[in-house]
Amino acid sequence: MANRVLLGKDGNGDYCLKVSASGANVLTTSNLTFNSLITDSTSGVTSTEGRAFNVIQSGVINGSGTTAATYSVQFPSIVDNSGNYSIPFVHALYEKTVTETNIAAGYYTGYGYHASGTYSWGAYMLLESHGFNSSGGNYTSGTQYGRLRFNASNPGNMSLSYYILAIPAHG
Amino acid sequence: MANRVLLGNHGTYGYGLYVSKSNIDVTGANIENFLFASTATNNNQLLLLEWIPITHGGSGTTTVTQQYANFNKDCEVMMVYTSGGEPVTAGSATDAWSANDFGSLFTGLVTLTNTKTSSSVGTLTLTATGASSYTLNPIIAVFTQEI
Repeated sequence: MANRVLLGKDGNGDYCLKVSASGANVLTTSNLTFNSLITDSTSGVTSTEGRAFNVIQSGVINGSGTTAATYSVQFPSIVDNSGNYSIPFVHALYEKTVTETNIAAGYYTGYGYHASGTYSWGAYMLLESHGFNSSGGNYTSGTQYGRLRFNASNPGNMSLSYYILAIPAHG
Repeated sequence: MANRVLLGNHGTYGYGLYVSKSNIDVTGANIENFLFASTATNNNQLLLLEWIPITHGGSGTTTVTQQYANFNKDCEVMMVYTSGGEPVTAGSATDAWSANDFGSLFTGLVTLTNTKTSSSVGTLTLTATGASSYTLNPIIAVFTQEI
């Protein structure tokens, strides 16, 4: 069995956590599935340092009725050490039963805010970084929350799975 | 408090590094309850996340390139177009892990290709065409996941 996890000093003398692909020796391979030493000094690139695709919050929104409606969930705001807020990256999967045997599906990905309200796959996404309490009301004190909203044109039988990721806009 | 970090032999998944969700005992956790598992085929780290604007003058083809450190991977790419903070369209994307399509205004006018230029350098090439002038501000993300 190959050595696949290195927690310590690598061959270059750098302390790190590295994980290699199945069958590859973590001490010698470049075929890594995790590398804490990722960095990029290329011109025009702000290094992400290999930020992982971690999920802050996830859930399912189930709609009802035939009238357009907005559904909201709150998430703890992402704020940096300077007090600047940032919207997180969101991935959402949309599914709606049209008939008993027919399912319409789509997805929404990104830092979305569709102010014009154009529906895509029967809904549109609005994302706000901060300014709310945990119930979606205006923030006054304590932990500040952002808000993820979906407006569905015909929400009956809608099921929307969302994932809010720890990847703030602008890195 | 539950045991949440295991570096060693998991009873089900073998030797590795495992981190479980809050309040889940890592030694008895199944794959759904791992935040991290070294046995995963990839842990999807972010190599690049940049706004890469492109302004097209209304004739010919406009090209913007951006290189990045690829760590010897033929990476997957995610592209999201935005204009003034508002998503508009996806056009088409080659080697795209994911792309949004919020309308038809620019469909077919913009392409993104990702090339493994060498074992250390990847190159993104964004092109814009069409008879009208426009500026797009796509967010482009590159992950360690290979195509």
